[in-house]
Amino acid sequence: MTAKNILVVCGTSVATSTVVKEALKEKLPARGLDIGTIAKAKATEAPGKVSSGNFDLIVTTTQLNQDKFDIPVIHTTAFMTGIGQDEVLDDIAAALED
Amino acid sequence: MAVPEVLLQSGVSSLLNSINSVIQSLGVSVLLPIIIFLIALAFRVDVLKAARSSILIGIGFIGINLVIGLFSENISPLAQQMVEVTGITLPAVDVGWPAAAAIAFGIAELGVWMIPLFVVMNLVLFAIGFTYTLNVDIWNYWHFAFIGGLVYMSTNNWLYSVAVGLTLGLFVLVAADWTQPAVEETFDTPGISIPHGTSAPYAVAAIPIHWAVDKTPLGNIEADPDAIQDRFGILGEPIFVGLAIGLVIGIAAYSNALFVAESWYAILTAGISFAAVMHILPMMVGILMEGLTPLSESIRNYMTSRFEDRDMAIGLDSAILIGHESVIASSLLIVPIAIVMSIILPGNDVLWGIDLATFPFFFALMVPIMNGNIVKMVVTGTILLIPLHYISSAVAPLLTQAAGSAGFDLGGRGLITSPVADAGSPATGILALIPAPVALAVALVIVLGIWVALRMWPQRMYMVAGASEEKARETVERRHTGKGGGLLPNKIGSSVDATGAEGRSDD
Repeated sequence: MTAKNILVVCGTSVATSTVVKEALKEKLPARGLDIGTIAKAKATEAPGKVSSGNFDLIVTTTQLNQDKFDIPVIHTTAFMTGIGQDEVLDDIAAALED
Repeated sequence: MAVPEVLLQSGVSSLLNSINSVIQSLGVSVLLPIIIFLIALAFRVDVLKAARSSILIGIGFIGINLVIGLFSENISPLAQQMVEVTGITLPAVDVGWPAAAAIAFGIAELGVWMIPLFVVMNLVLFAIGFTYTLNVDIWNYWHFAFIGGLVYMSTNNWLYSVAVGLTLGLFVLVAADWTQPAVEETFDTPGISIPHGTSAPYAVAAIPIHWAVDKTPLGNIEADPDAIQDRFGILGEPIFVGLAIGLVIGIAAYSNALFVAESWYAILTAGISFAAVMHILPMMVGILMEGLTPLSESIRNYMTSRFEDRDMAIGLDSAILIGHESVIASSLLIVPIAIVMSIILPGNDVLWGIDLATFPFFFALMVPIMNGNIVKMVVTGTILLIPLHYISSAVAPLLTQAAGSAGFDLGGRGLITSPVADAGSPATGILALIPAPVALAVALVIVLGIWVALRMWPQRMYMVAGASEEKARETVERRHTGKGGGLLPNKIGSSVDATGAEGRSDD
C-alpha cells in the first residue's frame, strides 16, 4: 500500500483544520495506516488543490459540495468537540483502505 | 510617616520598572511562550507537550513578524506613493485578521491572560444556567483580548480592559445560544453553537437591517450561489485576490509613469508581494494555532468533563460554517463593493488588503437569517460596510499602538487596521470607541436585553435568528421547559403553552 495523502479543509486553513491535522497525525498511524502528507486548505482553495491529483481523501470541518470532488469527502466536527472521534477515525481508515 | 511611604512607593515603582524593562527586552516571542507554558501546566498539559507548544508559539510570532515586515517594506511605501500621485488618502493599511489575532494575544498588558479569565467566566455562567454554551474554541478568545487591548491602549486601565474583553465574551455566549437552533438546522451541526467574536456582532446587527431590506423589492430577487462560485472559480482564492489588490495599488502608485518599464517592475512586484503575504501570513498564524492545540484540548476536557450530564452546546469557530456556498458567493461579490466604497466614502481611512479574504466570517451567521439568499446577504453586508469603514478608521491609531505593545515592527510607516475582524465590527464600535464606563453599560444592556428576551419569548427569538418554527419549538421543549441544571430560570413568564400564542402572533 502506498502512503495516503489527506487534505484537511476548513474556513481559514488556520484554526480548526490545524486541530484536525494534529489529531490525524497523532491517531492514524496507530491504526496501521501509511500516511504521507496531511495538508491544510481553505474551503475556497480545496477544488484547486484537489485537482492536482495528489490527494486521496478530504476531511473537512465545514460543508463542501461533494459533487465537485472525485475523492471521498468526510465532514466532521468530532476532533473539535471531542465527541465521536473514534467513529470518524474508523470512517477515515475505511475510506483510505479502498 | 511620609518618608517611609515615599520610600516604599519608590521601591515598588522601581521594582515595577525593572519588571517592565525585563518584559520590554525579552519581547513577545520569548515572553508569550513562557506565559503559555505556565497556563498549559496549570491546565495539566504534559510538560514536554507544553514545552513544544510554547516554542511553536514563539516561532509563530517570529514568523508573523517576518511577514508583516515584508508587508510594511513593500506595500506601505506604495500606499504612500499612491496618496501622493492620485490624491486618494487611505492611511490605515489593512493587515487583516491574522495579524490582528497575533497582536491581540501579544499585547503585553493583557493578551493571553484573557484565556484563563474567560474559561473561569464561562464555567461560572454555565454552572448557574446563564448560558448553554461551553466555548472550547480558545483560539478565538483572541477577539476578547483584541477589544480589551484596544481599550487598554486608550484608557491605560487594566480593570476596564478586562471588563470590556469579558463583556464581549458574555455577548458571544448569549448570541451563540440564540443562534444555535438556526445554525444546527442550516449547517447540520448538532450540539454545536458558534460563540464567534467576528460573526456574532455582525449577524446581530444584520437582523434589523435585513428586516428593512426584506421590505424592499430587493427581498424578492434570487441568485444562484453555485453559479457565482463556478464563474469566479479558482480566481476566488486568496492568492488571486492578493495579486489583484497588489497590482491595483501598484498601478495607482505609478499612474503618472505607466509608460516607463521600471514602473511595471515595481507594479508586478507589488502584485506578487501582496499575494505572498496573503498566502504566507495564515501559514505563520497556523504555527501559532498548532502551538495552542494541546492547551485547547486540555481546556476542552477540563470544561466539558465538569458537566457531563447537562444539556450543553459545544462552542466552535465559525470557520466550520464557511464552506456553505452562499457564504463563499457573497464573500466574493462584496470584495469589489468594499473597494469602491473605501474610495468614495468621505473620511474613510481604510486601504483594503488582507481582510478582503475575511468576509466569510462576516457572513457566516447571516445565512440562516436570510435563508442563504445571497442578494439579501450582499445588500445587508453593503449597508454594514458603512459603519465598518468608519469604525475601523477610528480604531486604527489604537490598533497601531497595540501592535507596538505586542512587539511588531511596523517600521514607523503609518497606521494599520483589520476592518472585518474585528476593527470595524459593531461590537468594536460600541466597546472601544465609547468611553469605557458608558460602553460597558450600553453593552450590558444589549446583552442582558437579548438574554431576557430569550427567556421570555424563546421560540420567537430562535425564529428571528433564522430557525424554522418546528426547530424553534423543538428547542424550546428541550431547553426552556421544566427545571434547568442551573440556578437561573430557563423561562421567564408563562410556561410552554405561551409558545403556541407566540407562533400565531409572529406574523
